[in-house]
Amino acid sequence: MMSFMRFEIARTARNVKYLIFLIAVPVGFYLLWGRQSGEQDGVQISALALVAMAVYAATGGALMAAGGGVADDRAQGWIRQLKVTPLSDARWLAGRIVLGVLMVLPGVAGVSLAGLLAGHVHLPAGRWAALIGLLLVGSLPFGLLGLFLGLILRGKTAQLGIVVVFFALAVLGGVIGAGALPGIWEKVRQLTPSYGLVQGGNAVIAGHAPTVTQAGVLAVWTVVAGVAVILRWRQSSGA
Amino acid sequence: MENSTVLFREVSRRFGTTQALDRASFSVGRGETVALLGHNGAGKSTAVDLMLGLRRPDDGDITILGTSPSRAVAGGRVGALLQTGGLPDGATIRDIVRLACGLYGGKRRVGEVLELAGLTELAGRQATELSGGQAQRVRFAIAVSGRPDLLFLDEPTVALDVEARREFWAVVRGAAEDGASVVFATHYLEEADQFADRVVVLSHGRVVADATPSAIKAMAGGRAVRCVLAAPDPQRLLALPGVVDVTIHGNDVLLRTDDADRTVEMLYTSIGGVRDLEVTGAGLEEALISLSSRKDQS
Repeated sequence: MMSFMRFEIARTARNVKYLIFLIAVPVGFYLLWGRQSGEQDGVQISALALVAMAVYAATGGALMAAGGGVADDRAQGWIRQLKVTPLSDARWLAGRIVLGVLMVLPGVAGVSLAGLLAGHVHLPAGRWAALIGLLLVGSLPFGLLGLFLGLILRGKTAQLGIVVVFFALAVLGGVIGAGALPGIWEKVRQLTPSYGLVQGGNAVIAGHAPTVTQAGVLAVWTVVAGVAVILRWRQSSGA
Repeated sequence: MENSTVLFREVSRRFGTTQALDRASFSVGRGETVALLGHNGAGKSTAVDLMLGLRRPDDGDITILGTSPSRAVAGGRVGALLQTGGLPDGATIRDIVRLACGLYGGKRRVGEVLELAGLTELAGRQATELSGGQAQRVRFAIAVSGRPDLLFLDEPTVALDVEARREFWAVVRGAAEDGASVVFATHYLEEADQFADRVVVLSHGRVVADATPSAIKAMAGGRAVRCVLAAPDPQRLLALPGVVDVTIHGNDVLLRTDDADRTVEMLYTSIGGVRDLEVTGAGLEEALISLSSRKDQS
């Protein structure tokens, strides 16, 4: 399991496209639009922007790291090869999910650093740690979702599918763009995990715990995506 | 039965309307190298998949190293080079071999495995930069990185040219020296002949023969002897020891024989004037037709 994690981390770290998309893009966005002074409901705007971009980095990192290479690995027969080594299916699945969660860190660290240095965000260390903790746990449903997409889609479609899902969730969840969504969409967004994570993050930096609804939405997505992954995995590896 | 590495008993497996394996039985002893020989679709890959626990049989029992296929694989006692197995993008050969060594619990060192598979010079390359033969050696490296008691090679040389095939088998021989059992699937009779202690011939999912390579070749109508004679006489040629069939085109003669050594000897002593003599194995095609019909008659 450790050797599998080490292998996958080294592989991900060498993927330049991935690093640009998940570190350079959110950090760049933050530097362009996030460094506003002023407050909103007693919280620095630059801190709210930090939450949004950290969620971008976290959700994108989890989706891509957990699921991104899986479709190619399947197509090339690498997963089949792994199946005849002592690495069990359960460990493979666990490894992919842990990888998704771990790969949240580089982007979140980059955005945090930008917030600290360029955005002059002042947060007590405890809240900052709580935010990072929330992002790690809250990216679990995204990792599972990415893995599910990697298991059902093929090759380039999978990469594209993950990016489409990522942006759809980012827009719906208010990670990208500001203000209310038109009509029914404002209701729909309440049910997205990205919205739950952004709102939860905003609560944490204001010194509150995330609400039950926010935590509940994330938990439901985690369970649903987790069950979908397991069912799909069983089906595809069925005798 | 304690000495059997593989026990394959009355195993059947169907895919849709295709009976991939039909009550097939064979075994592999400890340290033995066994070839599964047959055409595409004969059931070789299905048999390998079943022995690795990648699929389950509809019927019959499979015991690998005294346990179930999936337990043997999970215990790291089996190595496999799959026909449909592949290598990952974005990783060097060294990364891949290091991963394999780690997954098998460090029974071999990375440098040792690279050396064994002739990959030391290529360790820094990506899998996508390798030739077919080189990529196949990487898959082989993965398969032997756990010093397995049992090694499966599913059509390991199918896409390789003659030179790469020779190199590949040289590497396999080097690695299998420490007493591991080897099961390889092939549709080259020649490959089975050269590398196997025993050959299990599959046809339409059934085991139609299970014997030493030379016995298989004898059963299959033996060998083909080609030569040029000044004035070939079909009657005299057919009367030579071992000869079962004679084909003549002008001065070119093709003899099919059960006993090539005696046929050739008598060809020189009783007929003479022999030029351009060549002895080859009969093709797999003839072998399978002959073996399948034998089985049907019995």
